[in-house]
Amino acid sequence: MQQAMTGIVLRSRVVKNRGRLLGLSVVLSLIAALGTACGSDDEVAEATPTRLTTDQAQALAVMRFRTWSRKPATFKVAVTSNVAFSATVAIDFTRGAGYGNYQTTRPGSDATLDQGVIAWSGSYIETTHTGTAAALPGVSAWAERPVDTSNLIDLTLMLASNLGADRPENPALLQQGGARLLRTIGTGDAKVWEIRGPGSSAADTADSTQATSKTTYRITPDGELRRFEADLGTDEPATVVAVSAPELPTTLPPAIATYLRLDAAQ
Amino acid sequence: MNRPAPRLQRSAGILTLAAALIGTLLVLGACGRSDAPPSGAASEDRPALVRVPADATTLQQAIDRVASGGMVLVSPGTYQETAVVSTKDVTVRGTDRNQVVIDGGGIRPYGIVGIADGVRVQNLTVRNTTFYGVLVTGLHDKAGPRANADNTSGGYETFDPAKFPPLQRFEIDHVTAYDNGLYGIYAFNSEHGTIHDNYASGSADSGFYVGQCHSCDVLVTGNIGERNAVGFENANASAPLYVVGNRFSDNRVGMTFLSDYQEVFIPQKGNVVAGNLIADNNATATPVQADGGYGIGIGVSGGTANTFLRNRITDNLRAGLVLANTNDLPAKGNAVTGSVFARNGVDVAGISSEAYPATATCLTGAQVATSFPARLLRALRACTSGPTPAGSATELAATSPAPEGISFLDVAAPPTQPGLADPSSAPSLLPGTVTMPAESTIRLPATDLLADLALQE
Repeated sequence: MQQAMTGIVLRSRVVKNRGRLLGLSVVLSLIAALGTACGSDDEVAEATPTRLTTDQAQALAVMRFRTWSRKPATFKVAVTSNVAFSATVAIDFTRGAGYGNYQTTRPGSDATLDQGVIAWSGSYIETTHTGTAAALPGVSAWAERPVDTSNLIDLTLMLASNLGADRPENPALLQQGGARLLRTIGTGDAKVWEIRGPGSSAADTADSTQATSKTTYRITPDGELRRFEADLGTDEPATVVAVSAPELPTTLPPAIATYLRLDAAQ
Repeated sequence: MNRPAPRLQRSAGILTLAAALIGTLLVLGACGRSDAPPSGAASEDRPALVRVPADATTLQQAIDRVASGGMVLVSPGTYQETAVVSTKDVTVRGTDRNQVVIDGGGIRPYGIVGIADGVRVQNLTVRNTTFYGVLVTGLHDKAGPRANADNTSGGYETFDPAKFPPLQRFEIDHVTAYDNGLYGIYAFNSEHGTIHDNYASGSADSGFYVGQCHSCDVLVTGNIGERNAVGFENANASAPLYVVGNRFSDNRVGMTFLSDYQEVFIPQKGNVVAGNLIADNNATATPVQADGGYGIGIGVSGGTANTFLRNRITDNLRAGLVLANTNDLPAKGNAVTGSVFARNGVDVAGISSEAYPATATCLTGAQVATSFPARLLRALRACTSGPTPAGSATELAATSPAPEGISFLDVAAPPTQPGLADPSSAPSLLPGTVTMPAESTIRLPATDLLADLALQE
């Protein structure tokens, strides 16, 4: 497990970047850190992408702010590489840190390879096989290593941490920067827009299908994030799904912040 | 050129904000001035007064209908919309400052944007927008402020002032702007205007912002900015620009004067900042300042030739006045005269880099007791043209760490504010230039300046 979670390091400051208008671009830059190993650019959904309406752009622009405001901010994070990793976590977007329970299985199998508690910041990953997130393992139980964004698990956790920001983004920039509506799911109060994130240099060409963003967001018309997907070049995209997780602490436990050296960083 | 990172308010984070904001305002294609109808025949077909909702259902419908030189008069209600004023010399006025509310709902980017000369916004409230409550700007297309299509640099591209001439003549008064995601009241690339008797709180960047004008001819007076990340902000906005008799207290940072490479017209220069109360800028129930600024009265980062005259600067936890460089732009030639400093962490602090030290800063007739570093005070009093001492920005910040912030939407609502005496009176055309107050008439403010209109603890 420790080997499976070893890999590349994200530029740690990126996670704490307050560049509100670049927030979604930060997600792209994280993915770009993977280089050419990512999937091909022409892998698009079957629906015809369309430019965002004003309402859709505004909803996308407040998505990260709404996520930051969500209390508690609990998600299920999943990515599959040589192992299938999933974790139910609470994220502190202000600190760029998270905490929760994880497990790994062999891809295509339900057989558990490993499970435990995970905590991360923009700089460190901490794991332990002892206890559960609710029981708050003691300091001696944890193994620590630096974040490495060549590791898809680390990268997915960093992407999850970047889904919240304390300010909205610029809807006009998102609209013109290549974000596209892929499809509308449901109607009325259940309506969700599936939107491909911005970042394509071909965004405003006549052929909008040439947009190359590797991120997809499912959001409600008022900007609530339901599901985030990132194409990391694997068979299935990495996902971050908003879930209810009452078993997790509503705020990052102070001891975890200490383990992650977040106190010293402030 | 080797440019060290800025050390005060405008390190990477806030610069990113500024860059992106500029991106917001830049436009696609050939964007001329507003398509204001001429004041002659075309306007004769339009009414001089359009009431909302009596004559038009929405603000925008009314604005589109009114004649040049006319007024949109808005009755009490909550208006969930954005509106762009693109007709010359139009006044948008509420009948009741506190009951006419434009509500962004936490999702719409702005309340009212003026893109035509002679725009006036008065006597209403704008809240819960994601960007700005009221904006006047010379950067726009026909639909309003727009973003730049080149998103490779976050939306910013070099601004061409010839392509986007500044908006001429504006007035924003008796406006309450609160809980907006960037700025409360904002004048950008605009000249010959006044911002007076307004109230702004809960802005995640600054309550009031005057930016990017070479010869601004702007007067900012009688305003209250509180519970913002920054009360008043100036980036690359230069003389003549007077900021007089305002209350910028109970923010995280009271005022900032910045030179910013990501906008044109560097360096910022020549403001007269007089008779203001800049106190207790230690508010915790506020959005964070993007670079961790906290407990600061006035921050000057690369600002030049400003006169700080007879201000009262007290009770700011970190420092009353901070001098810093922006990249290779030093704070230069700033004068502090006749002001009262008291009970600040230190009264005056210098945190410029060794490569770009503050120079020619002069302190005369001011009540100043402490400085960081300690030897700075003597240097400032000497009024020499040379560099002034500086200390570590990190060390200064450690004296009063910034607490975590809150959502801009959660900042406390302001108290009831006074409105215009006669909202139904016909507006006059705005003058071509602004009459500035005589500096000799500006007094040191009382400790309770505008306190009766501020939010009580």
